[in-house]
Amino acid sequence: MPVSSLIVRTTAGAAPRAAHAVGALAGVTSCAVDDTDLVVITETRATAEDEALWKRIEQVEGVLAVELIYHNFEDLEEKTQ
Amino acid sequence: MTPTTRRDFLIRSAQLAALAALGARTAGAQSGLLTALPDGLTWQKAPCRFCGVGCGVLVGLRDGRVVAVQGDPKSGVSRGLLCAKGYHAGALLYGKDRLTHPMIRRNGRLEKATWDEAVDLIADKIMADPKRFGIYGSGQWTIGEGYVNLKFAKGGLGSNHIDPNARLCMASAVVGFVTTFGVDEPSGCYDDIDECDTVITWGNNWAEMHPVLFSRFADRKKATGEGGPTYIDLATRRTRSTELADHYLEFVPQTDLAIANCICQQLIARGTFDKSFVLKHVRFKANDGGDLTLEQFDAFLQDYTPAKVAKYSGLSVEQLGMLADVFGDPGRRVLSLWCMGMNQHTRGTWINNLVYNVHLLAGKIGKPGSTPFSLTGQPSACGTCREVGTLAHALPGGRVVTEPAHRKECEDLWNAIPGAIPEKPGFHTMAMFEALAKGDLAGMWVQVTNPAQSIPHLHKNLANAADRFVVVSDIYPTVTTEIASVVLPSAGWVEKNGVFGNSERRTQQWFKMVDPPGEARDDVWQVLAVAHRMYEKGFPGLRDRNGNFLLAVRDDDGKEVEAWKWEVFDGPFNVDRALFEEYRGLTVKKHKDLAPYDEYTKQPGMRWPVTRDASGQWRETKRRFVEGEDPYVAAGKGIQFYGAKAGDDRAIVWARPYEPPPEVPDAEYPFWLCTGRVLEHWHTGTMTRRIPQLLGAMPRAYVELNPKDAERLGVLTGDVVRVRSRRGQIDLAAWVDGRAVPQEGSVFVPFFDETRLINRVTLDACCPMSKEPDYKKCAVRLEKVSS
Repeated sequence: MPVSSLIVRTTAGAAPRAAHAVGALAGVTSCAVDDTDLVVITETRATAEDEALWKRIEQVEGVLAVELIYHNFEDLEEKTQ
Repeated sequence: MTPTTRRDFLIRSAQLAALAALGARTAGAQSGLLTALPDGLTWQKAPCRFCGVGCGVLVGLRDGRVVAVQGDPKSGVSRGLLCAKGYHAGALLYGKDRLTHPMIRRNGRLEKATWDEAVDLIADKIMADPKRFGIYGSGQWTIGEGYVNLKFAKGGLGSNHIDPNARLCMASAVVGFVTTFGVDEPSGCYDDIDECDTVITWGNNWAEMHPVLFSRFADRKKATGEGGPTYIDLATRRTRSTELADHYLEFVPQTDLAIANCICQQLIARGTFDKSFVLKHVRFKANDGGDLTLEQFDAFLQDYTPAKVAKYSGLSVEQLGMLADVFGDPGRRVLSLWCMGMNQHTRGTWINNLVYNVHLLAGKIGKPGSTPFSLTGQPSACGTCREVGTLAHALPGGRVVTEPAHRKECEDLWNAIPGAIPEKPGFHTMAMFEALAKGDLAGMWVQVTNPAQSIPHLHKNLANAADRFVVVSDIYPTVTTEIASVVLPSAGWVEKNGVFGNSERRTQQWFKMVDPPGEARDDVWQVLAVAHRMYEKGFPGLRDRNGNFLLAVRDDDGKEVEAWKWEVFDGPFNVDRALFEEYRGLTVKKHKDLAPYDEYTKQPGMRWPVTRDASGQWRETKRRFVEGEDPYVAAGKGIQFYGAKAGDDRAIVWARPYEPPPEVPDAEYPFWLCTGRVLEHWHTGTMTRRIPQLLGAMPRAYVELNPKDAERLGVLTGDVVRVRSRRGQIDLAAWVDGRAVPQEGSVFVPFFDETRLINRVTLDACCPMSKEPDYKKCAVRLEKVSS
């Protein structure tokens, strides 16, 4: 169950609207940090799904670039810490 | 959120990582946040395994496996960023077909063997004909791996037949540096990206090849907007880099030689060159090495007026004038970047010289933001190949085998028999494969590289290789292991200790973090084991002056450690540290000083020369040759090119002419072919094709066409097109209007795909000075095979 974080760059002023659109994708939570940057968390069932999801984020209106920051790909079982 | 599950922890960690990376970049700060992520993983630093940028990676470990990767915000190179390849670096270790045991070819088939059998066989084969055995290595060798191989070959076998695959990527840069400045490697650094007013890329698609550096500039350009830095993309193909460019200047292949001369011609004609800099720091030479005056150099340049160059370069008089405007503006800080577009060139050395000419005439070197900067493609092409000196003519620390004093210094440090190192350079890469084909070499040990895919003109240069004794050390099966007599399974990246040196002279260390799979073992151990077996069998070259093992590894007290035994090598003693400390003693002569190994364990890296300051602290050097930055520049000099062979502290401006390429499109083969890399894959794809995300994003090689050519040929994206040259042919799917657009009359094919070997088609013509082949220009024809 990979968990990743991304910084998403948008055109000036587009971040809030892009955050909303990106956040509507399944397995994604996002928030706008300022008017051009989003922090996005993705959760997928398998690493094979990561790339497709990130490409969908790239295609959201106003998005200029998607930069992967953190990528955890361990076999994740839900364990209480 | 109060984390309650492991998943919650990871989500929280991911958020913190992104916020820290944003903070590190927007504030230029180096946040310590990430080393304390609450995700229950152990995090350790390493440089990225892939390209020459040298990004800092934090590797997340759990239960003896790499399970997470993030950018290291403390890295002065990447500041928390990584590219698509870097983020998946952990997965390169876990492909399903890792090599896990030695194999020996028997009756035509590779069969499982023991380490003892393999080591014994290799030792016997080398001893049978040591002078006809070559070692073909890599810019992906760690410094320890390169050093031990060099000492084994040059000190032990008495053979200079050792050369790396870096010959194929940066040899022209080396000869360019040495002929202009007298010493190798850049004077500038990545900080110049943050301080320049204009970037010019010379045939370099850094958005895909060096993406983190590109992002560093793109961030700055975006943040500053109008009035910020400008970008000129001087290229033969529109790429992702072009999307950021203020000016895209498309030139005819090979005419970069004429364009550089044209800039110089205009600087002198307009009087906008930096006269005081030239008077103090430059001298002029003719192509044959004779001295020239400025006036004579100007006379040479009269063949390169804008009107003349515009006739064949593809650039207009106005575009050529604009380039001269940029370099002639005394207040403008200009950064030139290049990589394979200039180095893989039948006049690769000359074009390197010519770009230095432009910067030297303009006085745009040695100032923050103003420098010519040669990028590299492999993670330690600089650290291992150029600094350690794993080239056929070289010795460590900038020494060469042709200098008696240099050979003696190495022999003395190694306590080798005087005269052990031959004075004649060995076979360079292209000659090495030709020798293997002809039988002049009886065998070869290939480490960390895949020549059966990467050597140009494969039919010719790999002919008969399968009939020779070829040993291949690698982590995965490749097309090269298919022709091997012996295959040795290697440890990869963080499965071993290592040190890399990147493009900006930065040396970066990492510790072993996880065990290699099965029986896979470090390449350093493999060499030590074979060398010691030869010593045990009485091979004289591996005895030092006292009869002891030449490649002995010693602890801090000088006591020998039995590092050829795997259980010792794999124990607590750090062999990599011992090798680094021995090598470090050879780095001072040419002012490439390194700090002690232990200093590199404390931080992401330091740029050499690294010397102690008055307070006893080890201090790196951002810019060489610059007073106040480089400790070897004398007070009052300002700029001092202290490597100058004439001893006059001057760099050389060379009168290098335009020369047409050896093969140009004609009626029979009407297209230029250019080859290269893509964002998702690295070199021959041995690692990146095992990473599902990267393979999924770019599964196969393709042929990229200009839309006008495609329309004329009736080719659509996805159609199968045969690319044929005088040397061979392959069939590829067409890509039109894709990620990049080659100029009309040219095509591009990436070389990562082992199922579609473009090097059956490429030409093996080389730069006669650097011996680096030109993968960027040959003539092909296209035939549509099917829709």
